[in-house]
Amino acid sequence: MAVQMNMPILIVDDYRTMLRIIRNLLSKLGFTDIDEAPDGETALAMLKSRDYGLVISDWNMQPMTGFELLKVVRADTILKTMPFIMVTAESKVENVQAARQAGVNNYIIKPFSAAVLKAKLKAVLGEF
Amino acid sequence: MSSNDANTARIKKLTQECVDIVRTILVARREMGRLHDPELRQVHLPRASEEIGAILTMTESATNDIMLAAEDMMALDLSEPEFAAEQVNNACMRIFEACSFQDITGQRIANVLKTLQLVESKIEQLENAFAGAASVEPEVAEPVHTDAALLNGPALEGEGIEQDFVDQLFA
Repeated sequence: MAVQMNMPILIVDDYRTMLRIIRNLLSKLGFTDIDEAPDGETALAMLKSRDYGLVISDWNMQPMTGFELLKVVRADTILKTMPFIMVTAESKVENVQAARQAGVNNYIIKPFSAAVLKAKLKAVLGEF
Repeated sequence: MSSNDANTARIKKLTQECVDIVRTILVARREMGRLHDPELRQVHLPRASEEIGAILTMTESATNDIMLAAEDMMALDLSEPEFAAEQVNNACMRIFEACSFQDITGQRIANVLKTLQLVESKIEQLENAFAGAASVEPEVAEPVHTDAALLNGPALEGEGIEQDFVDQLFA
């Protein structure tokens, strides 16, 4: 099935610069409906209020980390199948393994390029 | 009081003062010994130094990337507007990518701040020890929550894994 370029995407990061970077990269790739959240807790509330097609989240945030958000999403009966990409500076093997075990769909290490983001989106959502 | 008695009293007083000084020095030495923190010297301070080095390298690299993109735009041949517009767009995306340094360096600075706070707390404990204030209690490390143990921030060169390795795990 073709990727709907107008599907709502939620990006979660406590650095406004990174939110802008990811938003601009997604726009450049053709996605048109992008929301932002500054932490896991806000993101969770937004996920429960709107039907998002994808979450792109940082790991290291307060009060709720991206890892905690991922675990809550996977434990939620409605949200559990939500495509979830972790974009983080945490680049230890144990981090990737923990995220994978928690059900993350893909994992991007910061800093990253537009090409890497596009490749991971294709891997998770399919060709677009 | 005879002159001899006066001298004896003075000597006794001086001796007592010397004993007090030695006692204070011994207490201070003992307290300083309790404040000795090999982890601060061997782990936290070298790490903070490396984090600052990595910040310098990354900001330099980002500045270079941003300037290169700007130079590419300045050198554009505007006689082909559509091609030039595409090139400007690409250069802008390179600038956005380069700006991600702010996030990474922010996390590195946060790590350095944690070390500075540790040093500050040690200095405060030293001051208390010398002031004869409340005895310095040895610090008890708080148990690290499993998830919190995964929060290390950006890796230094040679520490973390590359995106290719992650891709293999998800292949």
